[in-house]
Amino acid sequence: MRAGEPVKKLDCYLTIVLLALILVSLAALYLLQGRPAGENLTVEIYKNGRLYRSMLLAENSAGEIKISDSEGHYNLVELKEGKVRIKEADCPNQVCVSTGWLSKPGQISVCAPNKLKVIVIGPSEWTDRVDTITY
Amino acid sequence: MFNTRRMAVIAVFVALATVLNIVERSVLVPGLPPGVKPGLANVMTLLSILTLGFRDAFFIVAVRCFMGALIAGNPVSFLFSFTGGVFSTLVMVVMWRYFNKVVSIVKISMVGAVCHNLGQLFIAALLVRSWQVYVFLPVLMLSAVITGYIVGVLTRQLYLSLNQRNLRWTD
Repeated sequence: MRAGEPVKKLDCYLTIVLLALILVSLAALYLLQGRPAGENLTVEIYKNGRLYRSMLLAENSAGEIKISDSEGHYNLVELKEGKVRIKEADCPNQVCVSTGWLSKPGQISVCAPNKLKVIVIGPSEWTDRVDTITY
Repeated sequence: MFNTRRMAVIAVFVALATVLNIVERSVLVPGLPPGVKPGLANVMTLLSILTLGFRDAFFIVAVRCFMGALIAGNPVSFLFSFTGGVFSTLVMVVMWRYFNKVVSIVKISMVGAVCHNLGQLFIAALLVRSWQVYVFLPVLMLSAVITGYIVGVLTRQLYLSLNQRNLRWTD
């Protein structure tokens, strides 16, 4: 060993646990988002935990929505060619902008400072919801 | 308890942690997923746990977050770094105090980095009021394990080399 610290007992178990956690969470993410893009996707925009707007994510839908709040902060959501993204925001960390385009069910973009969430919802969830309303 | 030597060491640690925090904030690599940071300030947190004890470590983390928010941040980024920092420090303190015999410094740093991200996602989930923010967990955890390893090796080498010098941290 180069350093003067011996190998400790729990080290290798901890490595295994950490790697297993990563693999499990990656697998869960794949199950959640790995489905094909598909038709009839819906975009839902939540502001302060409440549904602000919901719209179909069609191939030909295009447009920009500006979500402002009483404190003067804003996020600009852009729809284009069956994809959606947060194009602009006045938040300091810009995590939501750097998340980029969303096009698959389950993908989300979050702006924590402005308490905004954009999520793509797949057709299955969508029809489920219709069924609950119909029956 | 607060003798001069101890106060001077704490001041140096806080200053170094703040500088590291600012440096890593300004070195943003494009193309990396959101929220991925090297977490170099964790070197000072971990080193203060090893050399000064857990009270001073919590103090240093709190002051570092406050300084970082004053210089380059805002209330929300303070909330993020404070929650992540305090949670990861708590876990690392417990590991160092009670599992020192069986866990190496590098592993403590790796677990601490993962806990930092868990704490930050917790705050994000609270703010947005949605647990779905945890879809960012796999990427963040992968990066935490890598950066935590680098930070851990840095800290271990620093600690060992400082120990060889027989420094007195407190009077």
